Parts: sequence; structure tokens; C-alpha cells
Amino acid sequence: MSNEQLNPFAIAQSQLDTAADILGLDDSTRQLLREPMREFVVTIPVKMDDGSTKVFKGYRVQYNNSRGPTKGGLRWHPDENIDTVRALAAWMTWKTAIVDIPLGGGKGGVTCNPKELSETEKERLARGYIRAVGKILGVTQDVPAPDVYTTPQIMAWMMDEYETLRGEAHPGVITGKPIGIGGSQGRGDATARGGVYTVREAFKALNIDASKATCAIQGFGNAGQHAAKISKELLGMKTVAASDSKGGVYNKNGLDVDALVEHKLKTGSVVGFSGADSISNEDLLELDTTVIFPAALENVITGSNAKNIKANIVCELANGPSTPDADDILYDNGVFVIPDFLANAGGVTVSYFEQVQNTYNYYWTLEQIHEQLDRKMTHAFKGTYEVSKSKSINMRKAAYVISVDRVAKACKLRGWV
Amino acid sequence: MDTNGTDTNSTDTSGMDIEKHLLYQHLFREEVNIQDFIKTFQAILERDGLLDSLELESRAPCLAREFEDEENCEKYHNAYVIKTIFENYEREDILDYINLAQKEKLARKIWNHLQNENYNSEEVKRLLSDFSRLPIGRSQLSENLAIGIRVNLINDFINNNLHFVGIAKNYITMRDINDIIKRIIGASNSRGKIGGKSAGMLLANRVLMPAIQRRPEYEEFMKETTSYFIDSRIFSVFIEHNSLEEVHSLKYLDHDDIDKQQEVLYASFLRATFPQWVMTKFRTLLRELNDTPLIIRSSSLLEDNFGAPFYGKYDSFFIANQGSEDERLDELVETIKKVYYSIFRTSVIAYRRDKNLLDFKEIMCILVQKVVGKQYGKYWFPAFAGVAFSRNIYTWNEKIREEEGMLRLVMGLGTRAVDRVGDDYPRIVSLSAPLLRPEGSFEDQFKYSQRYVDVLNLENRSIESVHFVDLINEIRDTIDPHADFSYAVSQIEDEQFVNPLLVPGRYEYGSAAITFDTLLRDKKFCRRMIALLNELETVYKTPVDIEFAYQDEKFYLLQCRPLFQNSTYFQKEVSIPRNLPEEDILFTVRRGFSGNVIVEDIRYMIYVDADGYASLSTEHEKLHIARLVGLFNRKLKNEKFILMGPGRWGSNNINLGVKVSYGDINNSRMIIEVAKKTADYVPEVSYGTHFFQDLVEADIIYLPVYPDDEEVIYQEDFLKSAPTAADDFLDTGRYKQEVAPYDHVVKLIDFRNAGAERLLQMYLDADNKHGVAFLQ
Repeated sequence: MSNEQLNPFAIAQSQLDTAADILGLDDSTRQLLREPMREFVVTIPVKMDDGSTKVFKGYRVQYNNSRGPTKGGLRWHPDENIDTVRALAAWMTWKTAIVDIPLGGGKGGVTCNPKELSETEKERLARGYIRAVGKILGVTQDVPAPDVYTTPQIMAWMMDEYETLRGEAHPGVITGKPIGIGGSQGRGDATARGGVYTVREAFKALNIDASKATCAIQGFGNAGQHAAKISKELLGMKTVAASDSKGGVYNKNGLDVDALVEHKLKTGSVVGFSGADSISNEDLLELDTTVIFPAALENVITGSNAKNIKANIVCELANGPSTPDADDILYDNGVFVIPDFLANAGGVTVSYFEQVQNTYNYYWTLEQIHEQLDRKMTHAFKGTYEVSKSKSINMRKAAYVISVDRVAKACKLRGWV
Repeated sequence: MDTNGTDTNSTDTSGMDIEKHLLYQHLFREEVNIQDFIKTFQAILERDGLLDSLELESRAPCLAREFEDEENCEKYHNAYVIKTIFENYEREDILDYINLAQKEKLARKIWNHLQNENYNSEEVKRLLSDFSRLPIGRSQLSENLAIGIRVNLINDFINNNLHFVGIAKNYITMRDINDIIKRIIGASNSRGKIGGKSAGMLLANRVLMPAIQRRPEYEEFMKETTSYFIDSRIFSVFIEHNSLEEVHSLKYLDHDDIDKQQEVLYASFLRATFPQWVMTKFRTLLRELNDTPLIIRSSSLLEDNFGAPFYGKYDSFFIANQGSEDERLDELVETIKKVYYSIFRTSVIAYRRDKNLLDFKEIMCILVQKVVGKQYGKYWFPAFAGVAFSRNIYTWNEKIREEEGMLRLVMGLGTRAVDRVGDDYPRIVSLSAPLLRPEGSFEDQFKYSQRYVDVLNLENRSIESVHFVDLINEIRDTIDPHADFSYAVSQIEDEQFVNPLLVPGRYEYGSAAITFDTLLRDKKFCRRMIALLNELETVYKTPVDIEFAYQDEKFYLLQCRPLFQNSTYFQKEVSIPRNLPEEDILFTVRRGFSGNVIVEDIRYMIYVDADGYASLSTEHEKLHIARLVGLFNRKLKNEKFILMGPGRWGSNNINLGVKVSYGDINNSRMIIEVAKKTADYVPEVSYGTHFFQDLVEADIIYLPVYPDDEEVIYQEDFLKSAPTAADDFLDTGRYKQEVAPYDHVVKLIDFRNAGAERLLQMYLDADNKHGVAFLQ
């Protein structure tokens, strides 16, 4: 059945199974990790601006809290359903484990179309959601964050509702807040910065001279722009190509990244940037560069184009840019893939820092954030790389193996299995 | 009648106050014909039941006899009428009636002149001017007289389109016409017209801001920009003066021959001159307008008329109007000649041929307007401007009501809202839900925002598009940042649009965006727009679109005409061909669309089969289909084609529809979403795709088709069995390898081949919720 194969939760389970096989996990642990530990499905009535009441379905899945309170984003999307939320909660469990932060994985969502909601309706929905699931949230239980179509403003309403219910300050109940009410420095570029740290470590591992390295960036949005800037700043790496939905630009001698970012912010696209040739999104992926950052869309590297990838390293800043069949081809061809849930774990790591700062009620400088993030990402990369080497498996599988192993061990220590 | 509330019936003639005696004197203050007043007074007394004409007829001779003056019976008749008036009404009323009598006198004179076909227009203008000098007063001319005069004057000086006159006669008063005539630049003692665009602008302003029965709710919000009208006679004089008469027959040549003559014609127009007396008039005009920037707008006799709006067919030009008077005059004259020339352009003649308007003797009049706005440093532009439609054809969500209309808003000159610039976006506002946007994420909202502002550069005297960040940084010292742009510009913090208390010292790219959030959050503006569009639509008895500008809290209505949807395909009305043989119909639709549309002679369709698509078992294959759609889209770049497929085009959820991006569909004329129930899911169609605004800007029509609805036709078998023409566009190797294995899922249907030499015709009648696609 076609839809079964594409059911995201079924995919997540099969990925776990692969790791469990490599680890030789026992059946009971495997069974525990295959399912979420707690699921909440709530019904949220919301008074609409026209006086009518609309009823929304909300979800919160706490996949596994063996390593700490669960953590994960809240998605507002018309296609949202429990299977997507389950799958993403599982992935969050592995993501927090790979960067070794003391948190479990969770995810939540509301089936709604935010494009159809006014600001006041969004606020009522945000507050209604917290009233429905607030009891199971908290800095010691489960901490949400922004995700698809949820914004810092929505996080702020949610935190306010939560604090109103509790009657005390709980800034750490939610992360991704605006800086003015307890948000952290360094969140804006955390994903890209974390990714570049892993690239730096990959260069060391693969003996690549960073000063001669080049990269191409597919998807010159927030993460892509930061990746270009930070690659230059930290590694002295040249960006030779960048693209967005309107098209791409290429200069084999390197693009002036600051000017390109300015051009993109000014005109809305990289297209038309002077001193560069145009290039299609497809061709960009096949450039002979040291690194490719797929930073925007899912499924851009597939079974059909994977064989043409010439880069040494693919650093997956976007979620799911490679399809499973592409993964195998890349590995066979010696393309080193830094998998999405390692490469883009900088975001959740800084979210965790936000939570820590909230708890201490003391806030770090940007330099402190960068230093701590570097430590976490470097450690995560090294661990993954070692497992990949020792077990002769690709980085994605290695990352799964480490994560699943860490979570399984925590479950065992607690005496659950 | 009595403002002090005293009993008006207890009039005591012996105690008639001095005021009334003064009124007598006022009444007879100059050589006047008392008879002019009697008629008016008598009608008022009869209206109020204070006098019975029959009784008066018998009473006047009695009075005359009483005074032994039977010869002058009429004198007593008149005296009795005046006495009754003065006995029964208070001073203010009497003054008003005296005024009314004077107005009626002049009106009758005007009327009498107008009955002569060759009336002396200077005399009529003089009388109209005298009339307009009289106070408006409370009592108005009888309707039949007023309307009769208005109809004649509107016909002779403004526009003689029957539909227009039918509406205008109720709103454009004699005083308005006097005011307009004073601003017409034409030949003496002649009656020229001022053209459709000027007429439309005048009418819409009068509908909302009538001279009598004034409307404070609009007057506090609206203002009119200074306008002058160069009438049709000046155009004729120009043609005669330069012996250009032959150009009028140019239109009967064939397309290529017209095209060949364009260059020569343009040059001869630019070389041509105006007679000295016209130049003197232009010079006087410039003195009255000072050095404010101007827009020189075409206003031909056919333009903006009901039925065939010449949307953007003729040229209009901004002029900076700076420098010495001679320089300004040269610039004005050259611009007028360019506008004149535009009626002879090949594309215009082709359009007229299409609309069967070729035989009409088209004449160009010109509307000269001060450009709404103010000077900011070296630039001149309005705070914002745009186009508004009384109907919203993009009802992409249930909160959006078609009848509440929509706006395309831009900061600066409205040129960006009128034209589609492609890579820059006006703010599209659904008036019933102004803050709703089809873009969900911050990144998309930022992407689909206006970046460049059209402004007049007064130094180099040209129109420029300047990035708003550069513009604001450059003019910061000349603006009050809170007042002038905060309603349009939002700042960006934490990936959100915010309107902070403090405006930054310098803007950076990416630190702010034009959102109009502040303006739209204040509901007043949108409510007023809804009311205003609704009112115009009611009066015009048809949906309308308007152009407007906004400056210093005032709204300027610059143009109004029957709705033309700023699109190639939208029509005022669509009547679906009757008696189509059912076998020729490909599908019909009964819901889910708004806007009347005709797209004719579609040769190709990229068709994605719902069952075929659902049968693909891997994500990889489904993505491949999206790539093939993109491939066909590029190959068909120069062809007329549409796109049809299951569910939601461009959805991120690959099971809900083909995951294309805008670049995969941008050459298509139309995208059709087939919401067919399958075993597993009913695709939910949605206009709110992330590239919604790209569709709007690229003029791509969206249509959902519901094959499971009752009483609809959907010839799925035809689509399924039609052969693909993909191999015509691709080399055999590529076709065999990439496309052929998926022929059952995606194909390129060539209707000429599949439909036996017929092409696909699409007619959508939104008013009756009926659409049909058929082969013919």
C-alpha cells in the first residue's frame, strides 16, 4: 500500500530497526523505542472573530523521556496528524541524544491552517492549546519550541498562558522566545553554525585543507546565508554557488558572500547578482565543490541524481534532503554525508541553552553560546565519525546507532527494560 | 419655517418687522422681472397648501376692483402672492425662496439655449457661471429641469456614452459642470469632450462627495487632486494644424502595414506643433499649476467606457514639471504629443479591431493632474497608492468574501500596483480579512513583499525605482519617520514583523519590510474601502475597479471604471455557449471559483492522472513526476497550455498533490486541481499555496474541479486515453528513458491531435457558478 510506505512514522520505525539490528538490541527495548511513551490528543474549542466557535485537534507526543524532559517543536499545519507528530517526536529523541543534551524527544502540533487565522484567533488557539496540554508541560517534563508556522510571538503567548495557569514565572517552559522575554542569544544562526562546526571536524577527519575548500549552497534562506558567512568566517572556505527558488548563481573563483547576502535581502533572490553566472538548482548540486549544503528543501538528492554528486561532503542543513536510495549511492561513491539530525542539531542545542539560562535566570554572552555550541557539536561529530569508521557504516546509520544506544542505555539504567 | 420656535401663524402685518421690509428691498434691489419670482413663490405656496391657484384666480380681480384698478389685475395677483409669502415664512426661508427663484430663472435660460442645436456655448458657460455664483441654498431646482439641463451639458462637455450619462445625471450637478468647464482647455465657442477617463474620475468623486447633500463620512477621508482637461477639440486642431488627417484611416490597413509606419508616424507626431493660441493656453495652465509634478494621462473618448475598458492600452506619463517655464512648457507639449500618438499604435488598433470598435472615430483627450504626494528630499511620491476592486476574485479562503473586494497596495507611485512587475510584489489585501496572507511563514511573507518604490526624481526629472531601505535612509532627514512610513514599513525582529516604538537610525536590507500591517490593523481604512467600493458598484450597477493614492491622511480617487480584473482573461460577463454537444465537453464546474474568465484556443494540457499518481509507490517516483511537469513547462514556454492534476499542486505533502515549485508551472495559463475522491483520501484543494502570489502576478488562473459533484461532466476517459505528445518535444533517448515509463501518470495532451483538430476552450461564468471546458 503506497501510503503505508510513505507514512512518516513507519519510516521512523524502520530507521530505528536498522540501528537496533546493528546494535543487536533486545526485543523489549526495541519494542519500547518503537512506540511513543505518552501521547495526548486534545480538542481545542476556539472562539473565532465572527463569533462562531471552531474546534481544533491538537497533539503532544512525548516519545521518550529516559534521558530527561522531552523537547520538541509545535507545528501548526493543515496536514498535521498524529503519525507526523509521532515520527518527528522520535527524530527529536535521536537528535537530543546525538548532541548528548540531557533531554528526551517530543513533538506537538495542531491541525489548522494558520494562513486562515487572524492574529487574535492565533492567540486564542495558542492559549487554548496550553490550557489543554499545560499540565504535562514544564521545564521538568516537556518543553515545546517553534516549528512549522509557529513563531516567537506564539511561543510568548503560550509561555504567558502557562505562567498564568501556574501563577509563577516559568520562562523555561518554552524555548524560541523573543530575546526580550527570556530568549537566548545566538538562536538565529545556531543551525548553520552547528553545521559548519561539523564540516570543520569532517575536514580534519578527512584531511581536507579548509583554506582550499569550496562550497555550494542550495537554498539561500536564513540557514543557507548563515552557512555561507560562517564557513568563510570560521574556515576561510569559499562559497562558489548559491541558489533559491528563483534560480542560482555561480562563480568558480568564489562569490562575495557578504555582497550576495545583501543582494538577496535587497532583491529577494540571489538571481541577478553581478559577477556570477547563472546556474540551475539541479546543476548546482552536481558542481565539483568540496562541500554542498542542501539548506532548504526535502528530497533534492534522489536515486536519480545521487550518482552525479561530485562533492566530498554533503552537510544536510535542511531536514531530509536525501532520499534513502540516494544515501546508499552516496556512500558507495565515497561522498561523506553529515546527516540532517546531526548537521542541524545546533538549533535544538541552543534551545537547550535557552532553557538552562532560564533556569539559572542568568544569561550568557554570544561568545559563551558559540563556545558551548562548538563543544557539543564537535563532540557529537567525533562520536559519530568513530562509530561510522569502526562499524563501517555511513554517518547517518552511525548517528542513529549512537543515539539509539544512548537512549536504550538510559532506559536500562532506569530499570525500564 | 421658524427657527425660533414661535408660532408662525400669528403673523401681524401691522407689526411686520423691519427685517421683512428689508427683504422687500432685497427682492426689488435691481431691475428685475417680478414675474420670475411669482412663479417660484406660487409653486411653494401651493406645495405647502397656503394658496389655491383657482382661488387666487378669482381673488385677484376682486382685489383689483377693491382698489379700482381693474386694468392691472396681474399686479394684485402678484401682490397677493408676495404678501402670502411674507406673512407665512421666516426670513431665512424667504431668502432661500428668493435664491431659488433666481436659480430657476437662470436655469430656464440655460435650458432654452440648450434647445437650439447650434447654441452659443460661451453664453451657456456665462449663464452657468452666474448660476454657480448663487448660493446652493436649501431649496433645489425641480428635478426634471435640473436633470434635463445636466443631461445636455454632460453630453456636450463631458461624455456622451449613454450608460455614463444615465448615472452621471444624478450626481454631476450644474455647479460641477461649471467647475469642470473652467478647467477645460479647449477652443473658444466650441464644445469639446474630455474623454472617458476624466469622466470616470469626476463621476466617482461626485458619487462619493456630491456638491449638494454633502457626505461628511467621505469628505473627511477623501480629497480631490487638481485636474485640468485638454479637450477633444484641441486634438482635432492639432491634427488639422499639422495636416495629419490621414492618420485616421491608418487603422484600416493590415497589421504589418500599420507596424511598418509606426516609426515614421511617431517622429511626425513629435515634430508636429500646436497653434500659438493653444500654446498660450498651455502656458497659462502651467502658471496655475506651478511646478508641482504632473501626470499627463490619456483620456480618449473610448477609454474607460462601459464595455471595453482600454486598460493600459494608451500611455500616461509622469512629468517632473521642474525648471524654467519654457522648459516646463516643452516637456508638457512633448508629453501631450506622445499621448496623442498612442491611439495610433499597432497594438491599440488590433485591440479595437478585436472589440469591433474600429469604425469609431477615436479622439484623444488629456487629463492633466497634479501627482498626489509630497516632496521628500529630491523625490516626489505619495505615501501609498494602489488599485482596488469591488470584487475579490481570489477567494482563497472562506473568510474572504468576494463582494468585499480587494486591494493591491504599494508604497510610492501606484505604477507598481497597476502593472505586474514579476519579481516584486504589491501587498494584496482581501478587504474582508485584511491581515490574512496566503503566505504562511515569515520567510515567505518577506519574500512576497514590495522592495522597490516608484518615485519621481525631481533632480533628473524621471521616474525611478528605488529600494525602500535606500529611499528611507536617504530621505530620513526630511520625514517624520513615525508619521510617514510606519503604517507601511514593519521592522524585523526574531523573524517576525514588528512595529517598535523606536525607529532605527538607519535601515538595513533585511531589517525591515513593507507590510502595511499598521495600516491594515486599523480597521477604519479597510471598512471605508469596502463601503466606498460597494457604493460605487451599486451606483454603476456593475463591479468596478479604481486607482487611488494616499497622502497626509487623505484618500484620492484617481480613476474609476467598470471592473476589468487587471488580467488578460477576466471578463465583466461571460455567457457560456449554449447547446454544446455533451461529447465536446471535457468537464464542467459548479463551485470553487470566482471571476468570469475566458481562455480560448488552448492547444496543450499537461495532465497528471489521479489514479496513476496514487499508484506510484515511492516518494522518488512521485518527485520524478514533479520534475517531468517542470520539464514540459519549460518545453512549452511559447505555447498556450494549461495544467491539470490531482489535489493540491505544490503541496509539501507529496501524497496530496504533485510537489512542483513555481518554476515548474510558470508558463502555464491555468492550473486546475482535480479534487477526486480516491480510495484513501479526498484531496483538499487550496488556493493558498505558497506561491499564490506568483500565480497572481503571472496571471495564472486557478480552478478546482470536483468530478464527484452532482450534475457535472468530467470526461476522465478522454484524458486517460489521449495519447501523449511528449515525444514531439524531447529527443527519443530522453523520452524513452525518463518520460515513457510514466506516460500513464503524466502526459502532454495535444488537443489538435487528441481532439480531432479542435482546441480547448474554457468559459467560466462566476455569476451563475457555471464553468465549462469544451473542444471546438
